[in-house]
Amino acid sequence: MTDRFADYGRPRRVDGGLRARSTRGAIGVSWWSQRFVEVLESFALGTRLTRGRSYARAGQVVSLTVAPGQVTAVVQGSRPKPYQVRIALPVFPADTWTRIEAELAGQAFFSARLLAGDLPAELEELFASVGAVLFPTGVDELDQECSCPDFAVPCKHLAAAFYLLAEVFDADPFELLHWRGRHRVDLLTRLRQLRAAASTGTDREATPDGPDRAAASGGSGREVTTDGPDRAAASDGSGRAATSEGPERAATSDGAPVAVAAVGAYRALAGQQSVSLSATVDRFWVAPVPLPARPTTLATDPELLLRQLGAPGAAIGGPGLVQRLRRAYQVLADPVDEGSDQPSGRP
Amino acid sequence: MLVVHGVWLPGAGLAVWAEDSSLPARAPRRPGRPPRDRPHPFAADLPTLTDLPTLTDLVAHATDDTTPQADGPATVLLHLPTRGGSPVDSPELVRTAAEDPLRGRLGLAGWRVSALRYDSTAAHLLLTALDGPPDPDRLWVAGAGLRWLVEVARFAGELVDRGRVLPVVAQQLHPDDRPRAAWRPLLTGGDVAWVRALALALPPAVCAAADPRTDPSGSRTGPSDTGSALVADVLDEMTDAATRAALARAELGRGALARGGPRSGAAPAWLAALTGPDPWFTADRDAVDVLRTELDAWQRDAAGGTVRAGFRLVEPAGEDEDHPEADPGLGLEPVGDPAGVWRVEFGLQVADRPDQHLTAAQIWQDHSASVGGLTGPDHPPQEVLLAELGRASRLWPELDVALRTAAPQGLDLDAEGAYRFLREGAPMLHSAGFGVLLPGWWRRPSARLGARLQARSRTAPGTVTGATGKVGMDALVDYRWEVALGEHPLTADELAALAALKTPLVRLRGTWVELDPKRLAAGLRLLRSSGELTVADLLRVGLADGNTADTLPVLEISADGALGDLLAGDAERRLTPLDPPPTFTGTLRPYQRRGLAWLAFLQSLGLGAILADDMGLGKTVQLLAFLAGDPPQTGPTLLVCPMSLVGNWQREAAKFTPKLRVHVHHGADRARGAAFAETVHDADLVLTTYSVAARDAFELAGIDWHRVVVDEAQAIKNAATRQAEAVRALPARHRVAVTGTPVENRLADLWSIMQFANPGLLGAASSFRQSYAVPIERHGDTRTAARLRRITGPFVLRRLKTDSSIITDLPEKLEMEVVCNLTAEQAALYRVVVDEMLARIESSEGMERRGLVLATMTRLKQVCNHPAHLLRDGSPLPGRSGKLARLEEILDEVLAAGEKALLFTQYAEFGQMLRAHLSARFGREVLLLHGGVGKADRDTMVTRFQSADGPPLFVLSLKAGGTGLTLTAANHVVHVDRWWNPAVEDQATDRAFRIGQRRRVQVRKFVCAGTMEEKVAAMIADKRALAAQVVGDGEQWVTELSTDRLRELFALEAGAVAR
Repeated sequence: MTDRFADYGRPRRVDGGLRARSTRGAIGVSWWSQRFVEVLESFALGTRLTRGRSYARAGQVVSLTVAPGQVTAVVQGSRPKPYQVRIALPVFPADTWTRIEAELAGQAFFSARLLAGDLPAELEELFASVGAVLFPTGVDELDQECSCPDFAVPCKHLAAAFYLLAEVFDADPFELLHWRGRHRVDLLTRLRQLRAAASTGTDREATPDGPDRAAASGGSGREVTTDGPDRAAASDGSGRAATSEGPERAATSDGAPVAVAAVGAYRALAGQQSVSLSATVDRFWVAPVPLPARPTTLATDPELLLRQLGAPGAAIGGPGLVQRLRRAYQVLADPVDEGSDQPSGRP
Repeated sequence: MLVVHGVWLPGAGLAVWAEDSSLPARAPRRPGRPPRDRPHPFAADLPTLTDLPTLTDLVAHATDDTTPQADGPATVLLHLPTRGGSPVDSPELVRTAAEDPLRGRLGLAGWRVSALRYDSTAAHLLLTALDGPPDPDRLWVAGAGLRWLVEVARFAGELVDRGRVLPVVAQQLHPDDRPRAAWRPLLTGGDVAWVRALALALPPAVCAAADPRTDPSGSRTGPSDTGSALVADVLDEMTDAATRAALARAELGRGALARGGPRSGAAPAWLAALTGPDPWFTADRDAVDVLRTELDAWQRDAAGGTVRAGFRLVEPAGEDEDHPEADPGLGLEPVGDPAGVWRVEFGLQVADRPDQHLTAAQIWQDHSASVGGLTGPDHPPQEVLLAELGRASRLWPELDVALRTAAPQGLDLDAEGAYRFLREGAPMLHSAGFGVLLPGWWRRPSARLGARLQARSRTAPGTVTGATGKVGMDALVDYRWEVALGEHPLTADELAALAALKTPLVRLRGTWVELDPKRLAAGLRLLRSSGELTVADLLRVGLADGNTADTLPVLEISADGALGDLLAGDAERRLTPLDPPPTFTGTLRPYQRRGLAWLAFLQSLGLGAILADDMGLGKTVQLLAFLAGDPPQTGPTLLVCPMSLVGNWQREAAKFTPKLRVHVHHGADRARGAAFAETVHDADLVLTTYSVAARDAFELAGIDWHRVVVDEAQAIKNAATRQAEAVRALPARHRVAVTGTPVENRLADLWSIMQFANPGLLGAASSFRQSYAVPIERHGDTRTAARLRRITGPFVLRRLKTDSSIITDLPEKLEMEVVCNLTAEQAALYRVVVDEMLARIESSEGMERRGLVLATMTRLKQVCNHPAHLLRDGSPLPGRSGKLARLEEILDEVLAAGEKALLFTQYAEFGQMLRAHLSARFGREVLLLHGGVGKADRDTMVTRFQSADGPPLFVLSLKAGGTGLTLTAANHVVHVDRWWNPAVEDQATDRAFRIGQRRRVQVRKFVCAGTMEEKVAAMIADKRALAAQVVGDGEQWVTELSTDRLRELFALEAGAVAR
């Protein structure tokens, strides 16, 4: 890759930088992150966007932090000192949030979908109904800063941060709400209190009794860098504490495994105490616990798994990947003839 | 004897090594500290291992150079239990000579063994090949570790069958840094529980290759606690190999999935490497990271967490408890409110412990409620429930309706919604790992529409009896359909009335039933149809699985007349028991007369029969009585049996049906061509063996057989073998298969045997496997099993000794003399011994003569037992003794029935040989009690044998085991050789046949045909009543016989060897 702007030179390589997951085409899989990228692309200039995208893919973004009202990022350019990037956006006022929280608490649908990793389209309408606009509509809503000498806004560093931000939203739609002023833990705690109040029929002011969000997240902002285990330990109530999410994986996947993979046998055995060999030297040859009778299993359509999963990311082929894999799954349950099948006719 | 062990090397596949009982048990003592590793003193060397066919056929795969673990044969360092400087035997290892017990502390020490190495592809092939009962010719025993590995490989195969696998990029890299595409198991629900059970059952021996020096826990005492990681590695690797094997069978080779896919990034190379044998692919490292991350993000929801949502369908509250049924003009008026509200209740449960659950109501009440300790204040259950509902609603969007409230506890549905949930939502959610609880009536056949097929014979009723009214598979019958809800038949009007309700779930007579509109329409169509079809088609109608949306399950097929009796499946009990023909000289017990009637009945219908009575119920006499009943000029019957039974058939035929003209077609000098046709023409029964049947297939097929009988029909259980094909191809008017092994347990065997008896009845093998074998054997599908029983039942007669109607007929103790043939080798040895000893006896007298006579008796009995018993040369046992062959056949049936046997011999050394051979042959532990066993050990053996899961076979020397012990766990007693003292033998028999025995005891006394064994047995039987004292004292009386009498007694009679 040659740089036509020779005075800027080649960007310095970053070890362990955040790297965009997509290698080609558009960044952002979900409709909400695409909406967000559309906003960026509506006002940015072509070449800087392209270069920002390659920065994002090359891992030039050292860190990215989402906090209420602002996103800060550190982006490594061609100079030794990385640039400081900031994208600010007004947070919703407290009374707006109160009304939104009341609405969200009234319908489990929203929390359920958000916790399952979706941002339902209706959520945007719900925000609109209380006069709040979830996605920034124009450049004037965003306050963008970068410490680089490029006069253009957004510069490629800002663009790179935008693209990575889209992927952060992909992985966890709660981060979009966090930027707008409510951290996931705070929001969930509030909703829980509102539900409790509604079910007990009292009007008492809900007091925070959930886990302290400062303790859980370490301040007002949340590092989205290399804090996989931290994140997993946070009480996010998703029921999947052992599974960390995309960007963290990317940042640390060169070498040490971060967490137990969802797929594979190890996950089912994690935490199972197995006996030490030296302790069983007198029962070395035999099964310590005999196998019970095999319980029966339900015959299932081998393709079910593919249906259960959503669409894979664009980087690995999107829905087309599922189509190709389906060919393999279809033959798994199809016993193949082993010959000698023809019944000989009755003589 | 070899005991083969499997050791898993994480990341490097399987290593197989073996203990060899013929090698010294002790390592040479060396002064000083024991070295870190020494050669194992009794591990089999490589040539021995590579001589084992099952193991070495696959080594070629292990040396495939596309894989990094291409070591092939190698040595492996194992850490094995060691005492006093020598490794301790595995429990499966049987030594012929007892060793002094090892002394000293038991610990782990390093031993180097020769091993065959297999990469995961080859390991999967090997372990799959080892699944199932061991090959009778196999001369080694699998250790518990290898058997465990086979279990894991089988589980991996099941996961692949069910599509519970996902493609990933493995953590492991090729030594040249290339990444690896892999299929991994996705474990949810019951599969998690099973893999945990497998991990708990892991014999430590599988981990014996773990190196203490790399032990992460820092323990210096021995191999580390690598259990869970190792189990995971085995299952992961077996799943990958099984998936690739399944894809390769469907001819999806390398690159099959990549065609037409994306062209950039790592995905195309990865997709290409998901099929075919080579899992490695080349891609930019960054691109691989992206791929791995993307796959992880995509697959993250598949497994779900440790806490899952549960869905329970609750029926509308019924009113029938209060109001007795109104109406029932038809008895069909729907009761209850058709607009009743169905409800799917939500809850949370621990994924692999459905008993630990909370309802949504409880969770909304208490935001820190604990589900199995996995949720609580730090892991709020409300959010877990919400997230789970969010995921479930992605699969089943109808759930969204319930999520419109603040604290959803359930989803209200109308009947149609409930029906959709039952048919589509619930199976989908269940398979995705969510808990689903459905009412019990769902899936019950009585809760749905079914069809009954009624057939009427073309001939006038009443004439279809006896030999006159042949039905045959090709005969035509008239049929009409009846549609029923459970037991209740429905008219077309009623069916139309039900269809008019336009609701898929209706409460009728107190229970809910399913009224699928498509099935209602199918029912109406059936009621309008009628016509004619062949008997074969009629029987096959019931084979179809009616559980598709627009067909009805066939509940019953009935017919009038003889066909009706047959279809009812209890023809044996309905038929009038037949008296055996006068040419049959024995007497039949009542159940045997019923069996005779059944055989005659099926023959009259022109249908094949499978006589599968429990062993010891007299299948042979039933069949002989049946043969004796053939009218003159019927034509010959061909009976195919194993070599070891030919003599037995000959003798039994001579005894019970002396008028039957029997010809044995066997041996190098057997008649051919015209001479054969001539001989057959003059015979009523032609006996031959399976191997001759295969060799002379063409000649045998040229005869117009009246009947073909296969005895020990499990010999043709493998449909593809030459024997099975040859036997199936023999033309005959009537076919009978005889087997004592429960055929219904191994469905492939059942298919093959039925294909002989009634060709085509069970359809093609492939469709049979898909519709029956897989659902029944893999998924334990009881409804499919019942359907299969209904179809095969009429053709299989299997009565059990445990059946009370049979037991009343049986004596408490069933004694039989089992006549075995000598092999040619035995006969030659026998003659040599007789000639040599008689010469010496002639020239001796007094004490010396007596001693020589007794020595002759001993040597002849040893020859009859086994040539190796006389020769003491440690030569291999299989295939050289008629007694041993017969014993194996009997024990096959004993073990298949889950029963236990005592084997008595008077020779301790033959007991040793039997124990070693039988444990290798059956892969089961065999106990041995002889005079040298101390009291404590003897008591342990008795206790173990008596325990339910103890060893099934117990070899006892007559002297050591003949008295005092209680061994009532056995209901079979075999006297392999004879003491000629009925009192001693009875006393030994009474180890099993005594207080505490609840079953009938079968006692078999072996004698070799044409030898002095048979003659002494006959003399004793003759004289028993008259002069018990003469022969009552063992063999002493023989020494008083004159030399001429001795010559007669010892001479080998013609017919000793089945030719």
